[in-house]
Formats: sequence, structure tokens, C-alpha cells
Amino acid sequence: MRRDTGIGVGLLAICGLLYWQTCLISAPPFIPIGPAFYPRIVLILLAGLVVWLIAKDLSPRRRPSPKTPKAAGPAPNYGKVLIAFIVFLGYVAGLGIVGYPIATFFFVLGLSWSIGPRNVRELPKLVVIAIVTTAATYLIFERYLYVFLPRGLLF
Amino acid sequence: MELALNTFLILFEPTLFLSLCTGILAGIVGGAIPGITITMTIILTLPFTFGMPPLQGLATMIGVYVGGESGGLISACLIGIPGTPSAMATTFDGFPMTRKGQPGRAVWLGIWASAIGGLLAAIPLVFGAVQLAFLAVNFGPWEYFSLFILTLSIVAGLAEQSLVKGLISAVFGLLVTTIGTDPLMAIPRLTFGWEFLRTGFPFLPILIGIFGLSQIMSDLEKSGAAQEELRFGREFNMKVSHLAIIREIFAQPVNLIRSTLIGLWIGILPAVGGSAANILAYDQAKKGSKHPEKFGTGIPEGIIASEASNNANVGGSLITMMAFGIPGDAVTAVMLGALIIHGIQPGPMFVVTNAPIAYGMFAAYFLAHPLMIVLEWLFLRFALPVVKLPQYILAPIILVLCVIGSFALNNIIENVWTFFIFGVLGYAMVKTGFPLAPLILGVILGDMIETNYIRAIMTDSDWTLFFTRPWSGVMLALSVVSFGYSLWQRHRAEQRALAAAATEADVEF
Repeated sequence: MRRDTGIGVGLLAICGLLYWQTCLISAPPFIPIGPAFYPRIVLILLAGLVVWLIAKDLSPRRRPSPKTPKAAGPAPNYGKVLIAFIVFLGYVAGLGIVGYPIATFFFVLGLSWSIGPRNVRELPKLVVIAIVTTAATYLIFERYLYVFLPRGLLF
Repeated sequence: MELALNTFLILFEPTLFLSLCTGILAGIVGGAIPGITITMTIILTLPFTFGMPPLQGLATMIGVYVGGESGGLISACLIGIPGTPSAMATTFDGFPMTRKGQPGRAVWLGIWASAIGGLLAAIPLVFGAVQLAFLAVNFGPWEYFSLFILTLSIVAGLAEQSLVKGLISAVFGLLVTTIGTDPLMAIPRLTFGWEFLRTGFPFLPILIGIFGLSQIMSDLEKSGAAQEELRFGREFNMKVSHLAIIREIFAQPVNLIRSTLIGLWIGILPAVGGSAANILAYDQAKKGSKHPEKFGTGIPEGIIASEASNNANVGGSLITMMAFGIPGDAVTAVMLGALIIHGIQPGPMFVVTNAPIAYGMFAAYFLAHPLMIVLEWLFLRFALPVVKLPQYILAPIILVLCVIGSFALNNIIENVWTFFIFGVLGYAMVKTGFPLAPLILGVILGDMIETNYIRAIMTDSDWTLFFTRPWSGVMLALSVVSFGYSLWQRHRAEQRALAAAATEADVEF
């Protein structure tokens, strides 16, 4: 299956699911246009566009791909992106458990270590950066701008 | 006039003045670092403005916007990498000029052209925004609905890769706004029983996720980029005669005014932004030049065209934002969010009911330009090494600030999850060729489109009014023209590509 077709099928499934959800919306009988009216228009429009995308993707008259090789350069490093997403996911999950200061310290240290050169001699520098970032943002936002940062079970 | 003068003087109050300067400096630094866009910088500034009075917060953001548009030229001229997409065309002549041994001339031509272009755009900003706002006050729900449809059609049509993907992105944005309680009767829709979704997805975490997280992840995937350091330092001689530079700019009045007008117009068009303005202005300067073959070799015309247009673009974006409550680009989208946070409803009534803030914004825009020159001078003299920070240090700090920005909106952790989810979605969209700007615009306009559509139908069930009311009809007709034009442009490009491929195949055979 081609990529755009795959995305299209997924989007059509979402449209179908949400359309079914609109049938469950309860609305007072006396109003001419209920709360399900607009979402349905949007869903039908989206489904129509997705069908267009699929048709275009499957059409034999697709734009020919250039024969020239892709621009020279390093291959995308998806491993690094995946690590960054996982570390960030851990940070977001950890914010509500251990609180902003602890979660932020470990996040800054963990992410900079995992996407950086991973040199042990760099570690003290990264620890200092993590401490400074955590302390500076905490002090600026909590003390001076009165923006209350996430509290955990401990702090 | 008295109000305008008073608000201008208020900006010299120490806290406001300091905020404006800080914003400009943040913009310059953010703009000068390749990979950190102005949108990203303004997103990072946002949480700092939560605790400020509205005018102070908005002045800070205008400072970031103006500073960022010119900050991008520093790396464009000195290392050949545009700090922001809006400085892309500056690279074409700025970097060759530096290679010729004139880095100071390249940078200062850009800075002065930015300031002059931006100041020229202040005139239509002050008069245009107010006049357009008065026009928009007379709009009914039919006109608003048509205006929003026109906006969406323009933005979706401008999607670089595929029209249908641009449209899907825009309609998906509309779909996101249907989740939560409906705007007229507050009946929950599409929430799947989740309490958090009852109020719908908040706009700012979506915006921060879509642009911020996806941008960082896109940068990280470039192998080795995380360890990369920028190479410029103090080795450049930046000394120039400022009088000679100004004279050089004013020696090209046609180029200067044309580029300013292009920037202004592109800024007024919703969600197009400085990245298109600078390329278009550069292209027009080249076409209008007596010696187009010299473009790209380090001539001042190219730098002036690019930089005058991208700062004029700021004025244009502010016109659209202040007159209609529609963002001219992602940066003004964040500013709209900031207005809402401060309890100010954007739209045509904004200029009328919040005149001191509106005039304060005009004044901040005007004052930001001369201040930008002074701060760029200080930056070039003392702070250039700041932008040498490697990506692996910058990325975690940026993400922490994005988290704070998302959380601080309502002090709930669910907003951070929204930021994360839409960040993943944004990255997936980038990788699959779906443009981000139409989605954001769909999210911004979704509730307004629904409200105005239903209000129009409830006022008068005759749906032909959308076409027969003059302004509404004109705007819907323009939507069709915009859509048809995009379709025709793409069809022509495909035909050309097919013809080229056929010719190539014949030759090979």
C-alpha cells in the first residue's frame, strides 16, 4: 500500500468513528441546527478530501519522480528522534509524580546526554547546565512571574 | 492623535521599555541561531508574558518579532545559513559579500534596510488597521464566515507540496475545534466521555506542539546536527560607515519601496509570512534590475530587497491581526493567543474597545525599529558567541520552556499532554508532507466559522445570502478564484514535469 493511501485509509477510519460519535450527541428537539450539524459537515468534507488524496495517490498519472538522486547529505537519524521522544515522554509523565524541579533536572541531563556526544568528560558540564536550567526557570517563573509550575507527590 | 502620543510616551516607562528591549534582544538571538525560528522564539517568550500587563506582554512579543526578522540576517550574511526562513534570500547576496571581505557592509545593509522597510510599513499599519477595523465592524456573520473561508482557501492553496494535503490539513484543524462543548449550547461533542476533552483542546499547547516540538525533532534527525556548533566568532571586522550604508540604501528608492510593499502585502495575506516575502521581493528586485546577472554575487540590491520586505511583512501581519483578529502568520497566532489569555477578544472591535493597547502596539512596533539598530550593534559587538551553543544543549532548554508555556496556560498537566500529542502529530505531518500552517489556521478559525455560520442561518434561513450580500459574495468568489488558481498552477507544473520526463525518456532511448 502506498503511503498516502495508507494515511487516507486511517483518516477515513477516524472520520467514520467520529461520525458515529456525532450520532450519539443529544440535542434539544426545538433547535433548528443541533450541535452535531457542523462536525458532520466538517467530517464529510474531510472524508471527501481524503478520497481525493487516495485517488490521486493511486492514479497512474502521478507526477514522475525525478531521476536525479536525493540531495547529498547524511541520512536522517531517526534513532535520535525516537530517543528524544521517549525521554520527553518520560519527562511529561514524571512531572506529575516527582514535580517540576526533579523531573526537569533529569530531563535536561538525560536528553542532552542522549543526543549529545556522550563523552564522560562532558558530563560535569551537562550536570551544571541541568542545575542552572532548573534553578533559573524555577526561580524566574515561580518567584518573579508567579507562574506555578507542576507539583509532584514530593515537591 | 493625543492617545497615540500618550501611549508612545508610556512605552518609555522603565518596565515597558525594558520589556521591549528584552524582546528585541531575544528576537535577535533567536533569529541569529539557525534552527530557532521566530515562531519558536515567540513561543519561548510567551510564558514570560503571562505575568505581565497586556501592553507589556504584547510589546515584548512585538520586540521579538521585529528583532527576529532582522536577527536572521546575521547568520545568513556571516556563515551562509539563514537564521530564519525569512532571511533565506539575504543569504544569496549577503554571504558572497562577506566572502568578498565585506561582512560589516553585508550585515549593516541588512539591518538598516530592515529598519527602514519596517518603519515605512508603520504608516499603513497605523492607518490601514484602524480603517479596516471600522469596515469590519459593519460585517455580519455572513461576511465573517466568507472571510474565514477565503483565509483558509488562500492558506491551503499556498501549501508547497500538495493542494489536497493543504486542504486536508486545514479541515483537520477545523475538526479539532469540534471536539468539546459546542459554542452555542455548550453540549459536549466527540469527547468519548473524557472529562478533559469537555472544554476541547486549548489552542496554545497545540500551536507550541505543532511548531515547537516538530521543529526540534526535525532538527535532531539531521545526523550530527546535535553536535554542530556555529562557526562564527570575533574574527569578522564589522566596522562600517553607517552614513554610507544609509546613502547606499536610499540610492535605490524603487527597490526599497517595491520590496516594502511586497512584504506588506504578503504580511496582510493570512499565514503566508516572511519566508515567502523575502523570496518574492528578491525575485522582483532581480527581474527589475538593469544587471540581473550580478544577483547572487554579493550586491546590495539583493540584501536590501530581502530585508526591507521581511520587516515590512511584520507590519502587514499586524494589520490583519488587529483589524480582523486573523493571524497573519504563526507569530501573530501566538500573539492572538496572548491577547485571549489577557481577557482581550481579538477582532475588529479590538481597536475600538482597547484603543490604548492597540495604539501601544503601534507605538511598540514603531519604537522597536530604531531600538533594534542599537541592540544589533551591541549584539554584534559583545554577544555574538552566545549563538555558538550546540543543539544538544539548546534542545532540552527549549523543550522545558515549551512545557512551561503549555502548563502555565491553565496550570493543568493535561495541557502538557496536548502539547506532546500535537508535537508528535506535527512531526508526523512534516514527515508525510502535510503542511502545518493550514492546520493551525483551521484550529484558530474553527469556532469562529461555526459560530458565524450558525448565527447566519439562525438569523435568516436563506442560505443564498452568503452569495448575494456584496462583501460576502466577493470573498466567496475570491475563495473560488484562489482555489482554482492553485489547482491550475499545480496542473501546469505537473504537465511540465511530465513533458520533461517524456523528453528525458526519448533522449535515453
